Formats: sequence, structure tokens, C-alpha cells
Amino acid sequence: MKKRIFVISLFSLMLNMLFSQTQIVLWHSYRGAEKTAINKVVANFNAQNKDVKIKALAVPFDAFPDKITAAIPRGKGPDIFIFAHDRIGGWVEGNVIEPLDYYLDDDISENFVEGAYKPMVYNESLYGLPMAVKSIVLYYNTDLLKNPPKTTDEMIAVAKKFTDPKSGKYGLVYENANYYYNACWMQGFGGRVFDKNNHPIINSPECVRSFQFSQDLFLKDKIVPPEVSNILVTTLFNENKAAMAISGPWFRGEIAKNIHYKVALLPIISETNTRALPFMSSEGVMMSAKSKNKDAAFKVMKYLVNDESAYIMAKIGKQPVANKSVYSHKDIADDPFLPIFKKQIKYSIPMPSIPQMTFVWSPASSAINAVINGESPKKALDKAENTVLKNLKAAGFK
Amino acid sequence: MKKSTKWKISSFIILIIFFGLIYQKLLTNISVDQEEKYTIENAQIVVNSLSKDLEDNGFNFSKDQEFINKIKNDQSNINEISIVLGRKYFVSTNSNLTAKKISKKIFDIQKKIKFEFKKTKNVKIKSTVIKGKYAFYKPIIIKGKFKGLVIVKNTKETFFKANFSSTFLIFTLIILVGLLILMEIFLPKYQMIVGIALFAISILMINNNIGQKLQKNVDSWNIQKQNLAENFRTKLGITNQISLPKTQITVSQSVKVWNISFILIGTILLLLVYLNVVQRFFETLYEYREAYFYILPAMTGVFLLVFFPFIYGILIGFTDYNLTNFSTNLVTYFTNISNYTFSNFINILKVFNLHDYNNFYFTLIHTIVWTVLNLFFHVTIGVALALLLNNPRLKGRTFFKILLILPWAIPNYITSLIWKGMFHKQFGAINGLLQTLGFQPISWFTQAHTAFIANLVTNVWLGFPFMMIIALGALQSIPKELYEASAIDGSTKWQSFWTVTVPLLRPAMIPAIILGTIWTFNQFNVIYLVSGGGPDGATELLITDAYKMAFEQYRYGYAAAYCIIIFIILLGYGSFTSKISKATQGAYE
Repeated sequence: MKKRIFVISLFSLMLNMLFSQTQIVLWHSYRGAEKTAINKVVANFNAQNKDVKIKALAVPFDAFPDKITAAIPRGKGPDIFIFAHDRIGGWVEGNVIEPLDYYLDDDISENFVEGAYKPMVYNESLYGLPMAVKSIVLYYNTDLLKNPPKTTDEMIAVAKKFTDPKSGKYGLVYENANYYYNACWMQGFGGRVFDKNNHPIINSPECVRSFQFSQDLFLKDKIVPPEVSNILVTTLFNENKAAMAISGPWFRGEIAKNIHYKVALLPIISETNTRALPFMSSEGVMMSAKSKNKDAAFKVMKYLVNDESAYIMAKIGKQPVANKSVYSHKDIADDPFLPIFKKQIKYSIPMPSIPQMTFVWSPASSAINAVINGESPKKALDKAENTVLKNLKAAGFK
Repeated sequence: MKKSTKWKISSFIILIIFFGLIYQKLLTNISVDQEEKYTIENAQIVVNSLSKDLEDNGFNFSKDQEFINKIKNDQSNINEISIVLGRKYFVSTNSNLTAKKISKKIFDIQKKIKFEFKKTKNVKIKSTVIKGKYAFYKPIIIKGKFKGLVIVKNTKETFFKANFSSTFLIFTLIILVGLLILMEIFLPKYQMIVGIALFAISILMINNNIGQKLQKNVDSWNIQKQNLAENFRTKLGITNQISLPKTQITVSQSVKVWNISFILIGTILLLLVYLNVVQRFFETLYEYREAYFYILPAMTGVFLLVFFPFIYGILIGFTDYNLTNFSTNLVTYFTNISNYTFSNFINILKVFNLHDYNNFYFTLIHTIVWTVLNLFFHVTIGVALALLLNNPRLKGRTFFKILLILPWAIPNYITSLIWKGMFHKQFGAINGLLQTLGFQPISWFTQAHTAFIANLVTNVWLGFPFMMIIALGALQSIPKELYEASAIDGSTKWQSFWTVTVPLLRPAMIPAIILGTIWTFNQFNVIYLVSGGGPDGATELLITDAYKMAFEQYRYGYAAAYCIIIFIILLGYGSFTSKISKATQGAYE
């Protein structure tokens, strides 16, 4: 009996030694088509490589950043993970992610579409390889609207024609009480969240004007329904009750199959003659500062953003990928959506990745909510600015 | 020797060794934050000032032709390149990418460097050169002109260690034990006071002994550090323009703090020994060892899952643990006594302003009103429905029972989201109903009181089935004879409800109400999902407020302090109500 156990354990030990390979744990928060695509990429990598294997794990999006923040500093968590750039600042300050500069052999910035690479840089170091660039665009129902509006005046005029609150029809649906969506007007007017010294300037005159614009869309022009939520946008658009919607690439998966729609760039703001500039998030693969196999991890990261993988992510995952060369591929160039998403990236501003940004969301959302419901923009934004400054000071920021 | 004397002496020895070891461990964590940056303004640097040091270590700029070419080819002026040894570094220059490539080159070279300032006799440095230990810099000279400076920056901490003097310890212990035995014989009356005093003196002696040793080590480190800086100064031939920081630390401050806290904790423990508490504890532990062995797994689980997070939360509550110091070593952070203050509690409690929705007292009052109203509706609706269901003449009782339990059985976040949709201004069912009745539609979530009502309605819907089930169970256990007896006495139905049903329901309902209060007080899901705390934080509960502090603003310490206050409120409530529930225990007797 003892002998048998000995033989078995020896055998298993040998097996272990034979197949010892580096395992790289990858966390992502993809669902649906994107998940299918990333799994295919992972399977391809594992088939091509014998010494390094990827183990992919899908983690729910809501819990993702907190899990990363909690797990990695304690030595748990993944080797690499995929997330948007906007939390990089906090993660760098918290020593969660690893700078990639030393792993790069040459200039890889040329491999990516314009604007994708920059958001991954924090304190002038690179922290992630961009996989996808996401920003909001204008969706329009082609049965109700032949051509997308070029300017906001045009948009308001077209929307007014279609709007009929009694039968629940609206010209434009977007989450107007959400600071994220509202930022496209704010930045289009010339407003920014932070100045060069990372000081919040959410009550600048430009921001006030843009908030006035958002208020007018709802209160004066009445082309936007009240209390718009994510679900309402989808419902109205899917019931042919909304001519236009403003949303991001994730919205494509929510649109019903019988709806005929196209996407277009966000309109030019007539008042200032500048294009609406939404927030852009660059989604990339980042490396844990506590990874034990950093070189192997970087090999995987490079694979995830190469042409072959990016093509799969674009084709199967319907992702507006960050890889530049993919867009010259026939399949992707003919896609009615992806090139528009790529174009919108040019007219967008990376979401601030400094940790101070998390202090802005809640007060700014309160402000836009109050403004939509009739509060004076100046008053609401002054209040929000003060709250942000107070909270920043209390949390130890200068 | 008496048994109690044995206990005393052994506990003295254990305590002193224990505290000595802890003290040694703590002092190891006294660290120097070595982050230094050497800056140069308008400095005329001698070209080869530092080269010799580096050349000795195989680092030579002039020979590294590729490196020089790169800098030469760069058209723009490089003002400054800062590098941190090892994987952590940053680059700041006006031409980004080139500088990055240069710094990578430097990094590759630096991997080969062995720095001369390594381990010395007294100072232990827990790191190798590659991980980044010492700051040095190198001017970049192109055609004899100063173009910039390579700064190798050190961001690591240095740890000091002082060793326990074992001879000193044994000496102290022998004297202590001897004195104790003498005390036992000659002054039995004052043995407790004298014992504690002796303990305090020994702790002071041992700690000061270690502290002095440590101070010596730190002093020698300070001198070495200053010499190094002076060395740089003379080599660079610069006096005033370069400011080299002087690092000075002293140990005495922390020694004092630890002395006081050790003596306090030790005194409490010794009191327990003198009052026979410890003896009894260990005796019972030994006597029922089998029983304790059986519950050991459960106890471990409870400790890990309940007590550990609880203690951790309380510790954090007294610190300013936030994003800016999240990355510091946990042990270092929590053992540094100067991190502990009451400032979180003072900041939370000091401002009283009921006009500010974000003020603690406003939120507290809102939470209390919310809890009281909810409980009122839960209990009245629950009991009323239970009375209806308890009627034997009602047909389809099981069907109704299942129907009424449904709100409770469905996960409450789903119910919350459904209610949120029903409160929508235009498409919601509630406003639809109001409009058919001829009212104006209400924008529920834009005003504080309507948002409160929306939350309340949702939570009443979620909460009444629980009370109903409890009440139904209690009603079924009331003997019929009591009703018959009261009917014979000529009481009306109303009278028998107040004299029979209510007193007999009370013992079952009070624990349910206590539980319900605590649940409702901390009802996170409904607030978070229905009104989201809006408008402007007016419908925030204490617990959702704490959540926002922790996960939107990363102020973990502040949020933990908030939770401690919530805990104290609920603890007070719990101990208050347990007295009431004791009063009702006798209902059936």
C-alpha cells in the first residue's frame, strides 16, 4: 500500500515537472460578444504557446475596480487585467499597477489609433496597452430620420418635429442627468473638469453655458423625456419612439433586431461652432504590480493587442479596437459602425485618470440633476465645485 | 509556594517577555522615508565630478557612445531626466519618447552597478541595489555645456533594528521575581499595587534599554547619510545652490508613547491575574478542553469572518487611512501610534447643521425617522394581514399567504428596481394612476420629501411580509380557550383584541421589531437603488453615506469612523430594547 502511494506521488511529481508552465491569470469584465471574442483570443494564444498559458476569468463590471484595488496590494488577484484608463491614477498612487516602459522595445504608439495611447500614460509613464477606445456617438433610427443632424440647431429642429409627449415619442433620448453623457456638451462648449494643475473647474463659464444648454433641451425645447435612465433609452429606441439616442458602443447589443439604425458623429454645437466632445475611455490591458511573471505577462499583453487578436475583438466582439491596422481590413472598413466610432475618438477627450476625478462624479451629477429640473446652472455648479473642493481637502489632496 | 504565587510570577515573566518582543518588533518598523530629490538651479557643474564613482562601477557615459549620440541627436533641450532605480521610475523632459528610450538605456546599464554603500555593521538595509536604495545623480554634458541631470531617486524606506539584550532581560526578571516573593511574604496586603509598580518599572527599564540601542543605530545612520551628502557637495564643488536634505530622526518620542501604552495594557492584564480571572479562565479551558476542541473550527471561523474585520474596521476608524496612504505597508501603518487620532469622530460630530443635507445630524435624524416610520407600517400592516389570514372562515388562505409572502421572497434589489421604474415621472405606473384620478404627475425624485415617500413605499412593500409571518405564527399559538373565556366575561371583539391578542403577540413581535429596526436602519439596497440618496443627498442613510465616503472618495478611515458611530447607536438601541424584551418574557407564565 505504502509503496503504491509512493509510486503515485512520484509519478504525479514527474508529471508536474514535465508540464510546468507559466500561468498568467487575466481578469476582464466582458460579457456577450466581447466575452466570446476574448475567449477566442485566449484559446488562440494557448494553442500557439506551450510554455505560457492564459487563464481568463470574467469578473462583474460593477465590482471590478474595487476588487482590483483590494486584491492586488495583498498579493492576490490577476497578473494582468483589462479595464478602462480612468482608474489608472488611483491605481498608480496605490501601487497596484506596473509601469510598462521597461518592457517596451520600441515605439508602439504608432500601432494605435490616434488618442488611444495617451490616456494610458500617467505621470509620463505608460501603464497599459490600449485594446479598445470607447466614446459615445449619435444613434439614429433610419425609419424615422433619413440623415443625421450636423449641428445642434438642426438636431433640435428635427427632434421637435418628432416629439409628441402624449404618445411617448421623443426626438432625442440620452441620460441627460448623468454627468458622463452631459460631458459631451460641456467639453464641446470648451469646459473642462480639471485645469492643468489638476484643480477642478467644473463651474467655469463654459460649463455653466453647457448646463444651460442641457436644461434648455429638456425644459425649453422639450425634446428629451423626463428622468431618463439607461433602461428608458433602450426601451424608447427599441419601440421606435425615439428618433435619436446618444450612447456608446455597448448600446449596439441592446438594440432590438427589428430596429433600423445607424450611427453618426455627435453634432456641432451651433452656439460655439465647435463639435460636441464626449469623454473617451481607452480600455486597455494592465499589469499587476505584484505579478510574479512579469515578462511572461507582458508577452501575453502584447499578444492581446496585436493585429490578429484585435481583428477578432473587432469582428466577433464588435469592439472599436485601438489597433490601427485593423481598420484597413476589408471586413472592418465595410462595417457601418466601427469606422464612425473610430472617427469620434478624434473628437473626444480622454476621461481624466487622476484620482481626484472620483470626487467629481457625485457632486457634478447632483448639479446636473438639479439643473435639468430647473435650478440655475451657475448656482448648482458653484455648489458642486465647493463640495468637490471640500471633499478633496478632507481626503488629503491639496 | 502557593498556587496563586506561581500564577503571578509566571504571568509577570510572560508579560515582560511578550512586551519586550513586541517592542522590539515595533521599533524595527521605525523607518526613514528617504525620498529625496536633488535639484540644480543655474549650476555650473564640473564635468567629471561624479564620473569616478560611477566609472569604478562600470558606468561610463563617455564610453557609451550610443547613449551620447542619442542625446546629441535630440534637437530639443533635455532639461531634466529623473530616474528611480529599478522598475519604478519616471521621466520628465520636454521630449517624451526619446527620453524614455534613454532612460531605458540607463536602466539597462544600472542593472550592472553595484553601489558602494552597502551593509554596514549597525545599519541593516533590507534591499538590494536593483530595487532602488540610494539617490545619486549624473550631469549630462554635451559639448561642455550642462544640459541636464540624471537623478536616481530613492523611494524606499530604511528599517532599523535593535536587538534585545538577553542578559539584561534575565537580570531584570530575576530581580523582579525575587522582589515579588519577598513581597508575598512580608507585605501581602499591598501585593497588588506593588506588583503592578514593579512591572511598570521593569517595562520602562527594558524599553529604554532597547530604545537607547536603537537611537545609537539611527544616529550612526544619520551621520553616514550626512557624510554622503557632504561628499557629494565637495565633489560637485557647489555649496549654496544645491540643497541636500538632512535626515534626522529620533526614537525617544515613540519610546515614550509605547511605554505608556504597554504599562496600561499590562496593568489591566495584571489586575485580571490578581483578581483570579486569568486563572479561572485557564482552569475552565483545561477542564472543558474536549468541548473547546470541538468548537475550535467554528471559533476560528467566527474570529476570521466576524472579529477580525470588526477589529480591523475599528482600528481604521481612528486613522486617516485614505487613497494617499493606501499603498503604505499595513504593519508599518498600523503600528505607528501617531497615526491614531480622534479627528475623524470630531470632524463628523462637530458641525450641527440641519439645513445641510450632507451633515451628519441631518442624516442621523433622517435615518431615525425612516426607521420609525418603516417599522410602524411594517408592524401595523403585517399584524392586520396576519389577523385576516388567521380567520378560519377565510377561503384560500394558503393562496393568499403565498401571495403576500412574495414581496419578501423576491430578491430585494429586483423589487427596488421595479419600484424605481413605477415611480418614473412619465412612464411610471404610480403617476399613471394619479393622472387617471385627475392629479398632476409628480416628479418623485427631484424633491426630498417625495423621494423619501418613494423609498418608504418600496421598503414597506419589502418589509411587511416578515412581520406578517411572525405575527401569524404567534396568533396560531394563542389558545382558543382564552378568547372563549373573554367572550363569556362579555367582552367585545375589540376588547378581546386588546386584552388577549396584543399581550400574547408582544413576546413574539418584540424580537422581530428589534431585528427589523436594525435591518431598516442599515437598509442599503432600497436607498441606493431607488432614490440613490438624491436629491443632493437628502435621502441618504448613515450607511449609504459611509459607503460613498469609502468607495467614491476612498476615505476609508473616515468611513470606518462613520460605521463605528452607527455601531454604537445600534448597540445602545440593542441594550435598551433587550431590557424591554426581558420585561415581556413573563407573558406566558
